[in-house]
Amino acid sequence: MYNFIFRRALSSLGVLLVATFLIYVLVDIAIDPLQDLLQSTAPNKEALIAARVQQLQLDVPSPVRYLGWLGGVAGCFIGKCDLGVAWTTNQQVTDILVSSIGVTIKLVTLATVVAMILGITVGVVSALRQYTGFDYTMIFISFLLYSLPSFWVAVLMKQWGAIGFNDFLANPELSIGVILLIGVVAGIIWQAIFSGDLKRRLIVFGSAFAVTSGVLWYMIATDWFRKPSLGPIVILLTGVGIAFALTAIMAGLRNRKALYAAVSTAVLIAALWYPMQFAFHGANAGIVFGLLVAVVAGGVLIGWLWGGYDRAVSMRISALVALLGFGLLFADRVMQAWVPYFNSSAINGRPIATIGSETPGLKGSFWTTQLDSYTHLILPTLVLVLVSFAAYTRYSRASMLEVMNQDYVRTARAKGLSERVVVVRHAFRNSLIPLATIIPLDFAGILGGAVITEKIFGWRGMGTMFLSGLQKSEIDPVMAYVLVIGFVAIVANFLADLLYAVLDPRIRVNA
Amino acid sequence: MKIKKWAPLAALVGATLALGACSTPAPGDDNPTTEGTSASAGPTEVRVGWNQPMYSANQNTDHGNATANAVINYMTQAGFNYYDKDLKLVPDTSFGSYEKLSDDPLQVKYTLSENAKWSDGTPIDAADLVLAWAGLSSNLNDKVETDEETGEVIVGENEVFFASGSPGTALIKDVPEIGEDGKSVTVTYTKPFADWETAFGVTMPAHATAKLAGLGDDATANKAAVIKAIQDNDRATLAKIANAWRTGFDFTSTPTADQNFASGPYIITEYTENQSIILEKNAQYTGDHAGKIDKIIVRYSEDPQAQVQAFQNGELDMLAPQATADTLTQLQALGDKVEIQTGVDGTYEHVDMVQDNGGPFDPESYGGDAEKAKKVRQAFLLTIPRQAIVDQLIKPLNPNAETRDSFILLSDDPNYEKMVAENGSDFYKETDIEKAKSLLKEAGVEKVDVRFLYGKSNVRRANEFVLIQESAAKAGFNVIDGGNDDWGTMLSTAQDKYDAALFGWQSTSTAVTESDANFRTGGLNNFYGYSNKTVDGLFDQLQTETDPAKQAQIQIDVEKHLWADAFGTTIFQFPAVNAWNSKITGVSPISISPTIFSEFWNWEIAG
Amino acid sequence: MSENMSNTEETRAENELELREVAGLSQGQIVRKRFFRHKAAMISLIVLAAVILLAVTSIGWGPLPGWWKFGYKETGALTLPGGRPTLQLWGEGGFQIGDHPFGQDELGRDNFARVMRGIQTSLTVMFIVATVSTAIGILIGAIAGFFRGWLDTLLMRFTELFIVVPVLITGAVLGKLYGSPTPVILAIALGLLNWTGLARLVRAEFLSLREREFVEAARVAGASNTRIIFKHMLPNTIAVIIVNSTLMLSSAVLLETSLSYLGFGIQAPEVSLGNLISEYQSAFATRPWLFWWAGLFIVTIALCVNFIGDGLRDAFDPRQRRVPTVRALRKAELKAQLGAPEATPTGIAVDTLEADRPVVDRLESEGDSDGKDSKN
Repeated sequence: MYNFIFRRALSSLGVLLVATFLIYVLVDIAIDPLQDLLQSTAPNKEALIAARVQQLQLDVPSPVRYLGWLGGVAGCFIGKCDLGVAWTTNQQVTDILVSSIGVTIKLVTLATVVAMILGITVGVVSALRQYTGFDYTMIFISFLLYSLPSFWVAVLMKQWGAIGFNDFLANPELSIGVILLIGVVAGIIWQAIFSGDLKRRLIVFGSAFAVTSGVLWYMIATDWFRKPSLGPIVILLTGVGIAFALTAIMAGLRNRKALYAAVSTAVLIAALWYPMQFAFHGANAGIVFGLLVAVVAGGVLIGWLWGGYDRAVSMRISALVALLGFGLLFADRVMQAWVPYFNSSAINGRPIATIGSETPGLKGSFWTTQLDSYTHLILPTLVLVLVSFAAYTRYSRASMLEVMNQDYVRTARAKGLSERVVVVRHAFRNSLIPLATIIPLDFAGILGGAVITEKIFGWRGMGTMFLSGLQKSEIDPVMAYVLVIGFVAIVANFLADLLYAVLDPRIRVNA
Repeated sequence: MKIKKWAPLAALVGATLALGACSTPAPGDDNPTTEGTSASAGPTEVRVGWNQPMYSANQNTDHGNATANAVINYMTQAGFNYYDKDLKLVPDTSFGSYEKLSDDPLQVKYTLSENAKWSDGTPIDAADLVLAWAGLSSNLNDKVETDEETGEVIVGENEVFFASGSPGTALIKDVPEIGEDGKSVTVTYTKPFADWETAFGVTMPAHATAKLAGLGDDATANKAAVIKAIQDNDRATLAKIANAWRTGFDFTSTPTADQNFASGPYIITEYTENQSIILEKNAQYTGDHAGKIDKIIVRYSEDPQAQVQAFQNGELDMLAPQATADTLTQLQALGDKVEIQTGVDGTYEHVDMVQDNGGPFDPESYGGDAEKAKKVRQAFLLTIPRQAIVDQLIKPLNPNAETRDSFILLSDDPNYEKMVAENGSDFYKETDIEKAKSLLKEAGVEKVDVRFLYGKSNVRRANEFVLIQESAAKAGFNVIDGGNDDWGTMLSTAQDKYDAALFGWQSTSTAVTESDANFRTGGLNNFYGYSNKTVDGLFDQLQTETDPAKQAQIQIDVEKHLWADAFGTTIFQFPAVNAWNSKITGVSPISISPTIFSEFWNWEIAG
Repeated sequence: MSENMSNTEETRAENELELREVAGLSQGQIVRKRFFRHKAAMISLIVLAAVILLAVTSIGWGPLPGWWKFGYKETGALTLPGGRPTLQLWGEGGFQIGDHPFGQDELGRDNFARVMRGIQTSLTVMFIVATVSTAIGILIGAIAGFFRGWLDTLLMRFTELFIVVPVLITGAVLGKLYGSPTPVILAIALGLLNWTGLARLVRAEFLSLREREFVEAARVAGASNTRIIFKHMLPNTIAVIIVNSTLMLSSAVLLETSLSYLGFGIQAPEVSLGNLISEYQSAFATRPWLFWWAGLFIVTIALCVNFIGDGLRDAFDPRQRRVPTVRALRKAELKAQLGAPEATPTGIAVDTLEADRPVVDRLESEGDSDGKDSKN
């Protein structure tokens, strides 16, 4: 095994060397750092050209310059990275890289996590409801989203998601017809997910319709969009709901100990609302993280206290409930910052932003800056989720179908296990194995930056660094991008291969 | 049993509730919520959208010379003069004054105002002007050696290199003479120079440059050290100073206190890399241009559509996007929330023809018959549908657009009307296929192939090409699509691959010497082998002519020759769209840098 | 988790029917039958064919003349102010098509002709990309998977090399070398970069196939390597290949669109759907016809191709059938006990036989063909 890893690492390094060399030469062909000067009207043009040729060593053939660049990269091993200079702005590439990786990670992590959770959920449900209306609708929607060019989505999103929504916020009112219509749509979706016979469908439809329109009406009536908040009651109700749902999926409602553990965690979370107001006051990221850990640990403890024959399950469920519950508490606190944020002069009643990653010059508490960064994140995240969600839906649907047809699933059913146990324990877990091998590969692509999304929303991440380097004829930022992406891609490939072997014993490692 | 299990939870809940009850009552709004300090009607701010982030506070170096830097520096650095909305050069006497002492030799005295101070309180004085001379003139630079064989330029490690300088300031050979009060200098040109008024001014603070160069902390001592190093030509110290001057003021995020100096009404207080720059009032500024807005925020976004949508969404108050007809319509749809000014930009589109590549426009192709070649050129120029291009492609963006009929002058130049009336451009006023045909007949040629170079990915140029191709075909020209994204390089290096080229020249000032290189025999931007001895002679005169009236006359004479020789044709001046929130008053964009920022001190938020 | 009773019956009847149908048919016939039964795929196939037919006949293709009155390069006067479309569904004068049903651009060019030309270009690009990358992918994957050992290692590292090269750089290099790339050159270049996923996939298939008995048998019978690869093994991987090539088609259209948006794709005066929508993205609110028609066709083509791919997958993969629910299984058992012989045998036998193929392969096929690079 170690031998395999060692040989693999060595050959990967070789690949990286060859790739960077080729790309260096290619990029050198593609760009022309003298272009702006050749078009310039400056009377001292020749001197300027000569100076630039000298500065960028343009008289040296590109393979030789590559060696120089490589020398700088090699410096990284001894802690002195020199990735060159973006010559038009005289910036160290290492500096640009650090800031742009940060931006990219901020932009894409949330989107990826959301897309993954949403995609896998929809994919699995779709597989379990194969060839039903829900399945067809989801296939259609995911194919449709998959067929949309992302800048198209982005432009439309800005128009309706930002400008439109902000206009709505200026006067948040919906006619009763619209509210009912949204309720009907929600009802249709929910009944399709639950499926079953007509009676069951009608019940689901009815309750989903009632709840959705009711909540919506309440939100409009209380001007919730202008003054959003959850409050302990909503947190309690949602928390208990989550507790029931998670128990139903992970342990079955018949496991009373698990249910009690989950519900008591939810109650505790709601009870924590009041003291948390003090704990959150003047908080920073560290404190919040500490609180999160404490709350989750509390959940684990509650699960352990309730015990039962399957203590681990109770603990897991309680921990999850605690995690999500903390999310509610956090969201509630962020919402409290909404009113002053909404009314501040920098926002001026139009919170959803279309460009940049923050409102320039906005000063405020941790919560205000959090809120500000969310209002900026929401649109690009939505765009990324929409275009990448489809892929996850398809992976997980296919994988789930595959697994559901396996013999061990038949066996499990034959043993008389409940459908829940079959799906959650036997099928779902195994269907995740192939997904686990795709995610590393995906991650490489993600770090590459969402070039188009970044460009449209004015975020300057990895993609923009690469693109602007190419446009401004700066070879060093382009190469830094290639280096990082290449490295990550190769490592990810390697990891994927390893994961195949580790997770699925039927695959032999050979390299 | 059951009760026992619930007990811990009950205890916990009880405890937390008790804990809450013991502490300060009434959580929620008033207690923990202290955010939103920026709320309420506090300072006034204006948010301007711009496409490229600033990267250097010193725009006088080769690499810092960009509009992105110039627009910010325009607000943070005061100067001896500026262009007003009629493109007239206006002196700013609250900063300093200058006067021409003599014409030959050209001698100018610059005197700084008593109150002129840097943002750290240090007075702006002669030391800063002496440093400016060192930086702008290139006369202290180490001789750049050129390798005979390769043409390679060799600059050593510790050598003095400020910047490549400009031909104007290079004429000031001697160190400026410092006046007795230490607030003035006199510079002497070795030859008269037409554009002397815009050639010289304060650049970077001398004391800060010296500090960055590692010469010390004390402002007064530093100033003296800079003057001394320059006067004594102390190479070692100069190398450090040059280096600090050239690169020390580069930054792409909030600058350090050692880099951040303002002599103008605003100073950078926060710079979020690639996102925005916040400018606030410079407390030390006492001049005439103190702004009325407390905070100017410049936000960066490349995509014009994104800027327009951000404006619609209230994230921007002002923008000057590279608009298309559609973005303009989108802005107009906002009704009275927006003020839109459509106008022209300093760049003009034109068609040039290569006259020495053996192609259709080269006399060599007709056995050296220059007259014949000229007729072919005239015929081709007559087919270019200038008016149609303006009507179809430019008018949607600038309803008042007209064809540009001068090679040298911007259409908002005070002398433009007179120029157009006299320069002979009216020969090409109308697209005239018949005349073109008869000219071709006179020249005795029929089917003419013209390889046409333009920037391929530029949609507008591709559209212009389509129109030109169609129109020229009617007169018998076969215009071959030579569109290429590498056109900029090809212009000067691949004349054998194209016969005519469509592109734009950008004017950055109204300096009269700017067009010299475009039309002079062997001029740097005369890629086409155009040569007219009379034109060369006129340019020689223009170089040293300092009387504006005579300058204008020489320019007209030059153009008469250019049009008569069928050098090429000008088509239109780039349209510019400036838009701002209608609650802001006093905005007056101009066609050259700093465009929409021009006279920002008049900006005011109404109501 | 319960199913509608009648629905279950239906399912069951269908299953039986399927088994009966399959009996005595060749693999190709089974696939065709299954595919024709996939409604969405069939509709997509028809729509796609209609779109292609419309695009090719309307403005003609190459030497073929078209029936539409305007060429895509022809400028002209604006029929309606602003170049609004003359297509009208209702209102004064009722339904009418008019001269410029999709409107005109600022030069008065007919948008219908331009969109049609765009479809032609985009389809050309898409087919070339898929052909080139499929060919290379198969070749490299087959050789690597069949010979294994050092050749495999070498080829796989070679594949990684191509994963690292950003597509945009190719666009930029092409722009430099060819002025602006013609659709064909661009497509070939993209094809040369896009094969890595398929190669990995074919390799995985080959790795598992080469251990199978029939390959062993062929070898014993003295077949050459070439023969084994092309006659015995390749036909067995055809499912994976076809499905993935189809999906590559849709990602190629989107890739071309993205490149156009970033200025590295097909450029005017050449027209592609991608450069139409990227050029007119700012027109979406003001001259919507220029933005929406081209966009509509991109979405239609990509959607059709995806559904066809989905149909092919279902048709080729016998395991991708309905997941039997508990109740359906119970019913089947019951029926078997009561003596209904058709229900039990073949279906399950096929499943178990195929089950030893690694699960990963299929998923990998999805993963790689979904090439994220085209959608960012």
